[in-house]
Amino acid sequence: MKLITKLGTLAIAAGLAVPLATGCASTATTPAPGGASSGAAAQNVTLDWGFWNQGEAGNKMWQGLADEVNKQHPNITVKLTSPPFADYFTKLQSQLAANEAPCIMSMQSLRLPAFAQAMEPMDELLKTSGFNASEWNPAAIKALQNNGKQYALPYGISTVVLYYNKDAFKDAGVAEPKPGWTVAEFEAAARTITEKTGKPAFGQSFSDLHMFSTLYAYNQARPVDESGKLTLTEGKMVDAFTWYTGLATAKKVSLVPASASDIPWGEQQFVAGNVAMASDGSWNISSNATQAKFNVGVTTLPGKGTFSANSGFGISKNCKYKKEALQAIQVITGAKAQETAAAAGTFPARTAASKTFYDGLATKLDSKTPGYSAQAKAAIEGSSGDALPFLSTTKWDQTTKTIAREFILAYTGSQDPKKTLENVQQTAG
Amino acid sequence: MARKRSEGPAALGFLVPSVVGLTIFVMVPTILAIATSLFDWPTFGDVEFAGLKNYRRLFARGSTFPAALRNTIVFTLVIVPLNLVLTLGLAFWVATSRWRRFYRVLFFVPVVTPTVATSIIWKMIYQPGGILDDLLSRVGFTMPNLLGTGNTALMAVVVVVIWNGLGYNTLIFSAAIDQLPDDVIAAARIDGASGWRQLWHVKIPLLTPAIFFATTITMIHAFQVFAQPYVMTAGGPGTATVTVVMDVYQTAFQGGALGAASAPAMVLFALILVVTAVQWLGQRKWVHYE
Repeated sequence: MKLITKLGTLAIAAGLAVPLATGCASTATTPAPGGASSGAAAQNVTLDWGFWNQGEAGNKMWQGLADEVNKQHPNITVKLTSPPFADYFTKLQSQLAANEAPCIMSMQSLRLPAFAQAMEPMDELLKTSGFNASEWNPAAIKALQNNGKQYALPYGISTVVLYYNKDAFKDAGVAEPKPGWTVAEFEAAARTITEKTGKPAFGQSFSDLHMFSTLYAYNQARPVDESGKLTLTEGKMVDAFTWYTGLATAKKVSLVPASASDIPWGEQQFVAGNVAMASDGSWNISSNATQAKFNVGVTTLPGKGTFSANSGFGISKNCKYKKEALQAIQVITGAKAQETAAAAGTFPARTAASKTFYDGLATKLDSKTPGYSAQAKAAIEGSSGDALPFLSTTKWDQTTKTIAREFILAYTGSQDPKKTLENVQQTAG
Repeated sequence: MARKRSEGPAALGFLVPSVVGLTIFVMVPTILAIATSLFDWPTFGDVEFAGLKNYRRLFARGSTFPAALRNTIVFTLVIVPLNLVLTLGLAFWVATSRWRRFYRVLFFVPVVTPTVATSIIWKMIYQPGGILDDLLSRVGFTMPNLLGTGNTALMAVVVVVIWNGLGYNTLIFSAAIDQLPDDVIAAARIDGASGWRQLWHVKIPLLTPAIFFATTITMIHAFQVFAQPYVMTAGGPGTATVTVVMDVYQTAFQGGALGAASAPAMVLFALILVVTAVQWLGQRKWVHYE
């Protein structure tokens, strides 16, 4: 009895103590083949495609495009997997560590600096594949370049815009905002709506693009400079961040995230109807208006300018079938595919498909909210003109987590905004 | 007299499965982790020998490790005694109930429910506008943002970790209480021992092997706390709820630095090893095996 008890305890203690400490090493040292695997016949290839979750309708649409690859190139089968956005880049890290990255890698422009090393530059392959840059939105193509090399072909382009609850504005007797509205107008609207409804009018966020775009519109503050260095302690950033946190702490017109794990807060609270305004990407221009149970309006961020970002599909360095991967990507981002994506609510990277996007928006939403597609067009065009591509650092993923942990202290007023920025700069810079 | 047969081959036969298992799943990964911690090992790119750089970095300016270590120790110091007292109390109470089987299952449900799911539910209970806030506001109490405030976030997470782990030890103690020898208890009663004396001088000493087992396991679990704070607070606000395992996870899979992530993992491994060893050495002073 005594011996058995002792041995049992020891075995469990050892079993619990050790795997934790060793988990990292085993993934790093296990050699495995590349992301693609060959089928039965020599030329038949199966390509893995990793893409963050696009919602039920979106996933179906992208799966349809994956199937389309097989129709146009019968030797290529594309296998799509869609983890949630919050997990996609973490998963990608571990896939890269295990040498199992998907052949077709979906990449966000703002995370490209961190992952470019693991991706294959496409320039040489594109030369012989009939690629014509003039068919594309130049900003969308450029945003997926790193050190002058093209790493992915875009499927869309987005800016951050301001969504608002038309009903809440009407109930509070506040005039609806127009593209180009000022920070003072935004503050006045937020104050009145907060007073009239008793609920904070604006929703704050930790999402990098959403929050930093709002700060950029305020005074053109930029979190990362041209050389890819974190610049959170620069004067403009301190001013803009002090203003942003002050919306909650001093003016009391904004709702603060419940915890540091609520990265996308304001934008979610907006769709849920809990706040009347939030910054969010133009990629949600269709879905936000569809999901919300109120009339959604959209305009430019208060102030001047915004950040743009886009996503696209590239080839992982370890992919064994790079030529086939490019063929697949050219189908997925082809003229026909872009029409499909535009009709489904993605603002396309190919200029020819943008009409389809606005027409689709009109058909789907103008009956619910009259004039929505025209407003969306004005907001997108009003923000695209002076949109700046969002630059990030090579350690951006980890930095965003530090930002959430530290920024909540400033949002809740328990830490000075300047000190908060200094802390993040020191930990992540 | 017949020659005594050697027990060596038989012993070897019995040992082989566990030795092979331990070697593949414990020894080799441990050695690899130690090795990894001495390298600059990105998730992709070139691996370079770094010596003790990863360990020195743990205590450099801007590192979250000191806070993570402090929080982990606080977690353990709060969780282990509270968990043991509560589960022992629950087990004694359950033992007297005619619904004991039902209660055991009930208390065990959180153990088998995915931690991520229960943590999300607890987060919804805690957050402003959540269930707790709603209930308290009805009686005129304004609840602070529990998970967004440094002082309360750690304790809010501790409550969830304790709740999560209640069922396991309650089950262990419950089973041990059921097996307490009736004759010893009866003898104590005949000798005139009161309920309190029976509990303190007879029952608890008889339960010490189970208490020792539960202490060891609970302590190891507490040192490794991760999922609840990760889901509920992501380590914030500031570094109020960062734990060592979270530091390991974020450095490895968000920072892409496997070598730098192995260093805190090894420190935690050493800490658990030392504390467990001390417990083993100390057990002969207070654990009574029959």
